[in-house]
Amino acid sequence: MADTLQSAERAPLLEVVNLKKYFSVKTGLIRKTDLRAVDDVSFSIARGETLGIVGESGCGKTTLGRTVLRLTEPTSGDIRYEGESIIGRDMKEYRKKMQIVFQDPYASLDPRKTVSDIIGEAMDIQKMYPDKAVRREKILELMRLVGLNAQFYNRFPHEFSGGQRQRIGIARALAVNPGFIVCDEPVSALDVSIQAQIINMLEDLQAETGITYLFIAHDLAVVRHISTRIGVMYLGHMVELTGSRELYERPLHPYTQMLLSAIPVANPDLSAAKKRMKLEGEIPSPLNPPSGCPFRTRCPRASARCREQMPPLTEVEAGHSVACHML
Amino acid sequence: MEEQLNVMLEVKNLAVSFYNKSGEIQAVRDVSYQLKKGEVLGIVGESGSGKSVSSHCILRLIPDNGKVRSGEILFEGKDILKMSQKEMQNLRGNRISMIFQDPMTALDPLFTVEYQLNESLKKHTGMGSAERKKRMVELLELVGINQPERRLKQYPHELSGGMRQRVMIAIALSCSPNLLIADEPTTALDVTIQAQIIDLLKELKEKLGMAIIFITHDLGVVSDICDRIIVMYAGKIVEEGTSREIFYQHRHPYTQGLLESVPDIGKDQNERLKPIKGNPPDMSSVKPGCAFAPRCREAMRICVREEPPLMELSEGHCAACWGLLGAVEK
Repeated sequence: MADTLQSAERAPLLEVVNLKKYFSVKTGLIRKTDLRAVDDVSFSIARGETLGIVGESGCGKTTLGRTVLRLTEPTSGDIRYEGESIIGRDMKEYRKKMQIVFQDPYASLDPRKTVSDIIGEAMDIQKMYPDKAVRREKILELMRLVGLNAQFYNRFPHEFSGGQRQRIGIARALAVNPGFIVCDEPVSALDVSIQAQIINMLEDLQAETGITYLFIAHDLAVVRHISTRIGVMYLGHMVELTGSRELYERPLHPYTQMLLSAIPVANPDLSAAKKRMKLEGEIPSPLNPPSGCPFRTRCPRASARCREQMPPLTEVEAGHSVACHML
Repeated sequence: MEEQLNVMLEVKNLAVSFYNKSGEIQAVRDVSYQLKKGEVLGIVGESGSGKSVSSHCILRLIPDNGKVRSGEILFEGKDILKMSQKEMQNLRGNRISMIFQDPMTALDPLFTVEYQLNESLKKHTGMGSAERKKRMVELLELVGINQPERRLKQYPHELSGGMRQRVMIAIALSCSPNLLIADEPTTALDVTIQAQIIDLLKELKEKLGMAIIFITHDLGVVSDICDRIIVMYAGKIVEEGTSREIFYQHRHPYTQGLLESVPDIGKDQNERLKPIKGNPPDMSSVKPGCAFAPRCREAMRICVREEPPLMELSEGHCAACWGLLGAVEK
């Protein structure tokens, strides 16, 4: 009994299977090349869990988040929500269950709409609260939940600071009671003192409602703080996926090790003592990726095999998957 | 006396305001500091703290709607704010140079790397064209760019972000400046590239012995490179000290709040973050008292009435907080 209960709890809320998203890019007068933004990525997220996705710009993390919600159509692969594929389905039903918080709180809110219009829009589309008084009450409740004063009900986005706008963006995402939210760099545009406020709020919301997050960010310290498990992406591929503590204490992929050693620490003694790995090179162009393993051009351990074959993401230990030939 | 001789730059009581339709915005309010030869000074603050504006003033690069209301900026004893345009042009890019946050917009997309590197060499040095060419190749090598001859012929769009920032640094270094102002030079870059650029700046500082003012919002970045750090809030200096003093013996509640609100990568996620409550103040209506008081955990009655002065806690370590009054009197 206990076993079945546990496995039911662990049944993934979201499963992503061999997801690919290629963009066709003009590279000549007629010639077109595929830009493989997301290339054969698979993972699952359990209910109530936070999966963090880290990687440098151009690694495909934002495209991954958008493709999972079908804001851009995947080239191939499957996305299953609560066990059912959402490919080819009418997304209106799923927009109620899966939501997103965008990175830029300045560009993602319609400047001509009031706070209540922004939060209420999705409710109206989903015809959730036909009664006006109930709708108003729900919007006020959401505003309270994200720490916005009720008197802001009829204000416009330009009257708010970055942190407050991000609160509006989060209230908007929560308006339809989703079970899953993609947080695409939700704090990167905010000042450090405000970042912590928003992170704490996202954690509180999860504790209260059991919501599941896909948390995309380039700041490794923030991702470590909020995530249960973390996936590391490089040039469209998932190169390592494991528990957040495990990833920081025992990174196995050479790229993860490089990334971790590059983080500046706010501690002069530590950063003086910290031996940094030799960091070389930059991300190759995704239009012309290296053959075989995408990281081999910067990898200190690369061998002939890495040139020929893309290493698959393999579970090397329970709950710790790495895509590297050299392990 | 010897101390005095070592001082290269002295900012005294600088105040800068911007004017728009709705009135005056006090961006920098009474900022004073000194910079010694070869020293790396970090200026840390959030957006709107005045960290960029106060440093842009050193090269008199503030927008038209901004005005220096008072103060002096002495560079080797001469007031920059009183210099003629001609004197300024002799200073900019020559004795003092600057690198900007966004290497995409700071380079001109219509000109090759060679043209942009050549500009300041032509203006400030008496070198002939063959000599300049040699110097350009040297500079690109110095900042770690491979195949410099090929790169010289390229346009900015052909380079990656990290490469562009290296070109920017090469331009800034072209006339061997005594002072380099780096305004968030790594903010637009990825973390592995950021580490490369910081290592490069450290190496260049050792090699060339120039002083650097490093402006950033990221405490992790300054801890790695700075000798001394100034923390700014709402246009004022709230704390100043050596890097170690700021990180380990900070006395201002804002500095403490700033350090506590960044998640520590070495710690488990169970620990809750301690954010600073509230929002930064609106600089168009400056209220009496300490600007940080509405967000301060330890605010007292005096804090909302009167502005605390910068108090010296030990030599070179200052903080502006009424809570430290007892500590100073002892």
